[in-house]
Amino acid sequence: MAKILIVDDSKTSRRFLRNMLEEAGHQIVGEAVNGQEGIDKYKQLKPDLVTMDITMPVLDGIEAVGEIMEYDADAKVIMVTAAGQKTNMVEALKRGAADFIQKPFESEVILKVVEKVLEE
Amino acid sequence: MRDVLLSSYIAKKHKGEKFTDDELKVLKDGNLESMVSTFVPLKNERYNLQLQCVLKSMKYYMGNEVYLEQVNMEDEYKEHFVGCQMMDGDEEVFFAIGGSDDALLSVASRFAGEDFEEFDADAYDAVCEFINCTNGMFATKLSDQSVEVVLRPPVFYGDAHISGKNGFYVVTMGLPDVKFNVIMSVSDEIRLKSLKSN
Repeated sequence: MAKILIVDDSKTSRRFLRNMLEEAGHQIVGEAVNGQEGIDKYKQLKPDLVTMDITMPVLDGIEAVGEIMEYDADAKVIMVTAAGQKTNMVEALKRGAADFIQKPFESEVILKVVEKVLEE
Repeated sequence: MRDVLLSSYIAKKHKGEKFTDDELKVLKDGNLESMVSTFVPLKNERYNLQLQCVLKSMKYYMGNEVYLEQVNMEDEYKEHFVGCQMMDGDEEVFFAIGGSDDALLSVASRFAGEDFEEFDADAYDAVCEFINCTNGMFATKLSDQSVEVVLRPPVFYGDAHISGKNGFYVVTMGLPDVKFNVIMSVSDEIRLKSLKSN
């Protein structure tokens, strides 16, 4: 089971994800409310996996995933976002995101993707 | 449970008139997108697409009891609480949900799957995330048409006054206990004034 950092400006979204992931036995080691905080907490907590929203104030998720990957090329980041346009998907994957899930997220889908990314 | 999303709106608008063969086919097929295009005539295809996304999102998050009450074109709108989100890029899109404390509490509770007792920061957040998910769906559909937009973070306003140059749609939605409004604007200059913001 993995140590996971959740990055999303919405408390509701963070709660949904936390509940899903904890129920599956994962440990939520931290939460961040924007991309910059996500980067800072990544460096501090060194999680096994990050779930990253895109639309956030201060620094968006696409910029944040780029900076996390620059800091740690082995970082595992899954984009979990309402903004599911292909352009976002392509950009996030180019910056190093491991996978991309559009909201609304189903528990089964999230857990399957988390498992797949952790095994890589 | 019976799907009531569009049925009473269609029945109200068609009172006394027969359905054409094409309309009957659309009703029998039950495809939401076709039902919106056929029975809820809006200014243009962009608005049709936006309303389709709104109604899909309503049904998904609010459940089978949510229904479309009314669609009006307005050039100004005032509301006690409004959560809203802008999207910009190839199109300017404004989307908001407005209503009384009770109405938005009901929306927030249904979206979050928990019973909020007061309209506090957590309830605001739930409404804003609902708006974000709905807009995300619309943005994805626009992207399929090679129209790219960027979602800005949603925000909440108290005592809001919205005005638009070319008019915007105010869509009244109903739940068993409350009604609330959805404000939709595409390719227009929207002005929003508020006495309070979060």
